[in-house]
Amino acid sequence: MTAHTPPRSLVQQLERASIAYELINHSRTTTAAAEARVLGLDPHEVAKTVVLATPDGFVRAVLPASERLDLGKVRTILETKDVQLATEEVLAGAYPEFELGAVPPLAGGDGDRVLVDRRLCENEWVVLEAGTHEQSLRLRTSDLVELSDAQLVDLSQD
Amino acid sequence: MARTAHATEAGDLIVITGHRVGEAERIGEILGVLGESPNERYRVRWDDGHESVFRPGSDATIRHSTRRRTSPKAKR
Repeated sequence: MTAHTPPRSLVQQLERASIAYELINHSRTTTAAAEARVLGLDPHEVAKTVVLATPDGFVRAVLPASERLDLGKVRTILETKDVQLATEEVLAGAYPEFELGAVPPLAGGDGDRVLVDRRLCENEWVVLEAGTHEQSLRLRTSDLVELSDAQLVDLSQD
Repeated sequence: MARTAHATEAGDLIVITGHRVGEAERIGEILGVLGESPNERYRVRWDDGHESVFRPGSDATIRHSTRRRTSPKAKR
């Protein structure tokens, strides 16, 4: 993978699904809030993906850049107290096709469970990192939920 | 996506209709065609100046450039 090139597995999943999507190049950003700024979007239109390590494998939690993840809510949803943020070392081993900190909700991994915060469904489209820190993926929120087989939940701090 | 009999080429315009009341159309110039039908993607320069790779959905319409029919050498 090179800069401005999305991971092949991600593009293949999008192509197989035959959905509308857009890949947008931008200057390097390392947070979803910064990604929103360079794209001229409101933070609630941009999603960040947080990878969690659980006894049943990795879980990808997807929420608006404007929100903060509530691990207590996640533990309740997953019905386990053993939920931790995946470390960079773990992420590098589990998702070698993605840049550290740029894991998208789609592709890679091995059937990870995906949780999507309901707040994202307030927008028809959502923007998220496309596996690199220099390219974003824009797709319909409904397509994201369907493609990732996500569970719609409340993940954000009140 | 609405298509015409012509194949899409660089120089054609792509128009995305607004989905909500008051939402403006997005218009972009196709800079290049990637992949093959039915999985064509387009490199597009949008009217706000940004460029992206775009795979259109049903809300997209291609407006073919008249330049290539009158002067094929003029296309990019």
